[in-house]
This record gives sequence, structure tokens and C-alpha cells, in this order.
Amino acid sequence: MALEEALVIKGLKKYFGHVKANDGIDLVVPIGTIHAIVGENGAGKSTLMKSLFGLLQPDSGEIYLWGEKVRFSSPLQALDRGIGMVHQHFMLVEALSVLENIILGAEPGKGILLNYNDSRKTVEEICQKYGLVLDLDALVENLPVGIQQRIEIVKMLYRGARLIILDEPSAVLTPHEIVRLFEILREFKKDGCTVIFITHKLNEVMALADDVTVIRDGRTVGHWPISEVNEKILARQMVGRDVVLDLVKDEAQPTELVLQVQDLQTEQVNGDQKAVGLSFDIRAGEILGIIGVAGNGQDALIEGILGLRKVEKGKILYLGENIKGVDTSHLRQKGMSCISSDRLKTGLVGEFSVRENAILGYQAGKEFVSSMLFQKKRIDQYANQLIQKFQIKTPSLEARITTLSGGNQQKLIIGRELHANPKLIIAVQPTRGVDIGAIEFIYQVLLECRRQNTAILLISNELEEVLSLSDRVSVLYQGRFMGSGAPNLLSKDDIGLMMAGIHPEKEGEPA
Amino acid sequence: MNISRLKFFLWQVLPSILAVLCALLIGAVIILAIGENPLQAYAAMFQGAFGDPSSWAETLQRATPYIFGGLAFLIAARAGLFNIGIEGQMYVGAIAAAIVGFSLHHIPSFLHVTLALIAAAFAGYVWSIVPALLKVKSGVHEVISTIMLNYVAYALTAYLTVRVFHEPGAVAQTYKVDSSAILPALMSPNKLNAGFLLALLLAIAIYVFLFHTPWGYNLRVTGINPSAGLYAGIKSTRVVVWAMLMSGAIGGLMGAERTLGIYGRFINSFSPGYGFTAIAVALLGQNHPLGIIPAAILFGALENGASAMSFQVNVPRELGLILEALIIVFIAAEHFFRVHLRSMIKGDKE
Repeated sequence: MALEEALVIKGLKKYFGHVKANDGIDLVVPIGTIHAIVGENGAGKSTLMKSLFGLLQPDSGEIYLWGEKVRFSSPLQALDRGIGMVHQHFMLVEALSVLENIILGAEPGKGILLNYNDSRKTVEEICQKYGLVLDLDALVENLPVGIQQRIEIVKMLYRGARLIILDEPSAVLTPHEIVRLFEILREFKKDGCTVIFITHKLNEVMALADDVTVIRDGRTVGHWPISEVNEKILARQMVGRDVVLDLVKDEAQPTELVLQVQDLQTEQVNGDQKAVGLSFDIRAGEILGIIGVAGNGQDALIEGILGLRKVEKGKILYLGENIKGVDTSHLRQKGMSCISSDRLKTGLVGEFSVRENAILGYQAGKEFVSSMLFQKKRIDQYANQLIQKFQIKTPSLEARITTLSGGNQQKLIIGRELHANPKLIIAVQPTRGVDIGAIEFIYQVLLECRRQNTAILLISNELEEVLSLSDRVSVLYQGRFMGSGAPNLLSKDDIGLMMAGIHPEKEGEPA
Repeated sequence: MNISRLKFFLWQVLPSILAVLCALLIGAVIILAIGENPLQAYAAMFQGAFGDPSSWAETLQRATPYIFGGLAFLIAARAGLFNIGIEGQMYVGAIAAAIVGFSLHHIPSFLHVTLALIAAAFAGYVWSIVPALLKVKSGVHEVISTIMLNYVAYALTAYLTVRVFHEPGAVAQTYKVDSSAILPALMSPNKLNAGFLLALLLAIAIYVFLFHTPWGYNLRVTGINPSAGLYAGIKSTRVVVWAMLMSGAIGGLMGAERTLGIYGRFINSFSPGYGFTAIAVALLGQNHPLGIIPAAILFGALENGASAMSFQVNVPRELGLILEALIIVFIAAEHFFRVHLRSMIKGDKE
């Protein structure tokens, strides 16, 4: 009988102390199919993949790969057996060339000498076979993320992977790059490769997958051929209840001006994109959405407003006051808050506990300090309220923040940033890497803030997010706006073009 | 709850305990190689370090500079700085205390000591202004600038000792400080003095500062994740400067204790490297103000016990230094203990 399943997992369990990360996962992936695994953040997807890839040892359960029972103690063994994994965060060496990165860890040649010619040929053949365009001699640090992901994929193919696992592959890509990625994955399927991709974007599941497995709270909820489900069914299975995917949004009631940015030009930091002549304003009670591919001046804009980056030209007026050169702590006291996109880089202190992270930004305020000392009781009371109100799952206040799932970390940040009833919220990719249940929650929270007369600057590269939340949209490209308008007056195609720097009316002509 | 806290505590201290045990084990091999009985030698060592009140006093006396130095190192380390210039800050502090000690006369003892301590702290503070500013203004790494300032401190104090404040005689030392500037001894005739109590108080104060005040919080945030701090309104450059200055001031106090409590004057090149050994003490104490105290006492005990041991057993007193060095090596390999050991132990359970 011919082998039919690339991968079968039965009753996989993995506990971390009291936390049941995986509590009975079943998975069947036939050879030559594209299989989607969906689940909320913290549902156990990553744990499952780490167990499969030899990064974690499951407590019980069985894994059959190509019909044989396996138990990997290191990723090298998994690679040897034809499993390739493309992580969410790429594992590339930026200072090396594309070719060097691809052969890294599997360098051909005898002794200490590398044989680049052979490997170059092999890599070129792989690229040709799947229609992947790569300049093998370019340095990785100069390449956009879409290409970097492609390198990761070729790396796996070069190592002979026949089962490719992609963890949230579309999170960093533009709409066009996503389409291209899907084409590549379909090519693999034609070639008999098996693909598993982990995601929480249900439209991608519908567009690409043959089968889908839903995981919730560490367990397999069910698996279906894609023809038997739709986005609504999947969403309900993921969250365990009905999810409102269409936002109910009443008319904006903008009132007084909160933030006015006039012809803002910022300093450049570490060679990133600076803002060059940005002008906009936001009133209380409205959401201004700024959409753009990451790296087009978002950081410069945010840091310029927050007083973290030198303003070379132009004006920023906050509540009528020119805030050029004003301290961030002063701005925070005046009701400016920021939900930053890179949680562990700018939003949280990784080695701190949940409690300590909950007061970040308020640590000097009178609320938690009296006679120069922290008042633990008051801090605990506040932190517990935060946990309850924002449904943050954490073992305790003492737990390190990094032991929480991404969604729960994000909820903590949002709860914290809303705590002081801000007048302006700068929300940068507020739902990045967050599951659908949490996304719904976060959207509701932001809309509630808008109703409460808060001004919101939403900066994101998720088109759907910006269009459904914003009252006005501006497209950011290379530090300036390509266009602006009400979301219902802009077509998705036009925005996509503007994000790539093309004016829709004079198509094909780069700006 | 209490059990999980205990567990957490154990995981924190386990690497340090293992480092000490491993060092003792290798020390035992060395003693065997000399042809002596390790158990006997260690027993003699323990007896010498903790056998009676006077050996306790000597152990604590030797531990005192390590407590100060460890605290100086950790306050910088918690802000993300590696202050390797404690030795130099200690020297300028020691001579500043001496100068105040022998220049002022006929003032109450408490006032005299306090002024000398303030002068020492201020000298150490001034000594770290340059590295702090170089760090935040032009990105000069503090390891380079503080290490170089150590040599400047050696040279400056030697010059002052030999050329300016030299007490006539063959020894390069300053005049004696007035008796009113002497830190009172706690267990005469041992030199253990009130400086030890000051060190303990300072450790507690720094503990409260780090973990129970907003400034300590800001300092720790800056040390771990300055970007998150910036977004939360914490000016990392300001914090870095203050941490470096505080570290220098504590280094200065470390020198004052030696001047006012042990020698009664400044002696050129008096230090056997207190400021550097203190770094090892801080690491062994897991950069925790309360962890510094047992770590410093251990180092004091090793030195004190080793010299007592050398009289009883045919093992040279340098074994104490060898053990210190081994502890440093093992604590440097902390990563191994923390990561691999954890997985080994967990692996066994399964």
C-alpha cells in the first residue's frame, strides 16, 4: 500500500508546569497537500511545531513522519528527515550573501574548504524549478523581508525538505508578496511536496489550503476539507463562540483638535526612512489610519510625535501646544499614550514580571508611589483590575511577561496604555501577531475609546484593519503621503498601488 | 505561592552555589596533588574563618571592601554598565578620606568621619563623571574609559602620596589621619570597624532603592530594555549617567573604609585588587544587593581561612586565591549552569 500520510500526530501533550500548552493534539496531513493549522495565540500552535521540529520534547503522544514513528531531540534530526521550518522571525545572517545563508549549516566541500560552485548550481536549479528569483550574491541585510522569506524557503529546499512548515508566513508581507508566496506554495504541491502553514488569517486559509485543522486551548477541535467550511465556521471553532467579524461602527463625532502635524521632517536614525514633509491633524473622537509597508517612515513619525526623535523641520501641535523638544514623560502625563508594534522591543521589559510591566510609564506617578516608595497594595489592585478587565491570561502577577502568549502581552500593553484615559492613542499595528478573538476585542476597545472622545492615530500595514477602523486614511510611502481620503472612497487596489509608490491615475510610473 | 517563591529563589542562587561547590571540588584535587588530605585542609580553613569570634571578625573585615565594591559594580551593572574602574574610584576615595582626615583638626569625631566619607564618595563620583559623559555623549564604552582612569588614579594618588602629603620615611604613605577621623573598631584588636555596618546598611538601602522606588525601577528598565524605557518616558542617558556616578561614589566609600578603618592613612598601592575581585563578588551575588553580602563574606572567609590553614596543614595560603579564581571561572560559565543544568534536571524527571 502506498504511503499516504506525510505526517500523523496522535494525542500529543506538552505541559509547562500547570499550563497545558498541548493537551491532546491530533493531526493528519496527507502527502502533497497544503494543510492549514489555525488557532488563537496561546492555543498551542507554536508548542506543537516546536515539538514536531525537535525543539521541545512532548510529554506524551506519538508523531509519525512518512509512516514511521519519530521522536526528535534536535532540529538537525528533523532536518535530516525532510522537515523544513520557516520561522516567523527569520534565522538569517545579515552580513552574509544569499548563497552563503542558504548553504549555512549544510556547507558542501571536503575538509575545511567550501565548494561554492556545486552548491551554486544546486541552488540555481531549485530556484529555476519553482520560478523563484534570487540574486545569490546580494547581501541579506540589503533585501526586503519578502525576499528574505524566499531565502528561508530555498534554504529548506536545499536541505531536501519535503515537508515545509511555515509559521505565520504572511505577517510581514505586502498584499502582492502574499499572492506571490501562495503561487510558490502551490508549485510545491504540484511537485509532491507537503506544506503546513500556521496562521490566524482565515481568508488565507480559504484561499490556499486543502485541509484545515483548528486548535483551541491546546486541543484539536476538528479538521475539515476546505470545501466544507467557511471563515465564519472556522472563526467560531477557533474562539469557541460566535465572532463578530464585521465591525459595527457609528458615525464619527470629531470634536476639538488634538494633534496637528505640519510639514514634519525628522532626523534619520540608523539609516531608516525619515519623515519628509508629513502634514495631518486628528480631532478627538476620530481615528486616522496611516497605512504603509513597514519601513516607510512609521518609526520616524511615531518617535517624532513622542519626542524621541529630533524634528528637523515642521511643527507638531498637541492640544494647541508646540511639543518640539518636550520630554516623553511630560507628553505621557498630558494624555499621550502609545501602543507600540514591537512588544518586546518597545512595549515591555522582557525580564520583568507582569506586575512590573503593568506600571511601565506610570512608575513615577502619584498613583503608585508615596513617600518615594512603591505602594505594592495599590499596584496589585490596579494590576489585578487590568488582568480582569482585559482578560489577560497569566499564572500570577509575578510571572515573567515573556511566559505570556503574544496576545496576552498585547492586551496588557493596551490595558496599560488606556489606563490613564489618554487624549491621544498612537496605536501601531495593535493586532500584530494577535489571534482573532483578541483582535475583535482590541477593535472593540479602540472603537470604545473613539466613542469616549479619544483621538486615535492608527498606524498599520494591515489593509483590512485600517479600512475597517479608520474614519480617514492616508497612505505612507518613503516618508511622505501618497494619498489620503475616506476609507469608502479609496479602493483597495488604489491603496495597494500607493503603498508600492505608484500613483493610481498615472499607473506604472513610480513616484 | 510561598513554595513557588522558594523555588524561584533557589533557581536564582543555585548557579552560585554550584560554582562554589565546583571550585571546592577542584581545590580538593589540588590539595590531593600536594599530598595533603583535602577534608583536613578544608576543616582547618573553615575553623580559621569561622572558628571563634576573632576569626569571624577577621573574615568580616576582609569582606567589607567586597561588599562596597560589589554594590558599586551592581548599581552600574543593573543600568547596563560594566564599571571596571572601581579600583581607581576606590583609590581616589581613599586618598580624599585621608586628606580630610589629616587636614581638619579639633572637630567632633562623628562630624569628622562623616566629612571624610562624603569627601571620599565625592571623589569617586567625580572620578566617574568623565566615563559617564563620554559614554552618553560620544558612545565611548565605559570598560575602556574606566580601565584607563584606573591608571590615572594610581599615578595621581602615588604623586600626592610621595610629593605632596608624604610622611617622612621610607614608606610611600601620607600623614596619619587624626584620631577623630578613625572609624571605630567593633571587635578590637581586630580592624573590623563601623565601615562594615555602613556597608550592610548601604546594601539594604540599595535593595530598597532598586526594587521599591521609581528611580530604581527606571534604572533597571534602562539596563534591560532602554527602548521600552524611552517609550515610557524614561530618559536612558540620564539614568546611565546617574548610575555611573552612584557607582563611582560607592567605590569612593570603599576606599574610605580602608583609610579610616584599617590603615589610618593612605598607603600607596595598598589594594591587592579589591576593585577587581569585587566584580567577581557581584557576579557571585547575582548582582543582587542582598546576594552581595554572603558572596563577600565567602571571599573574606576564603582569604582568612586559607592563611589560617597554611599554619596547620602543609598547604600554601595561595589556595584561597586559587579557589577565588576557580569560583570566578565557574560563575563566568553561569550560562552553562542556568540553561543546560535546568534541561538536564528536567530531562531526568521525565
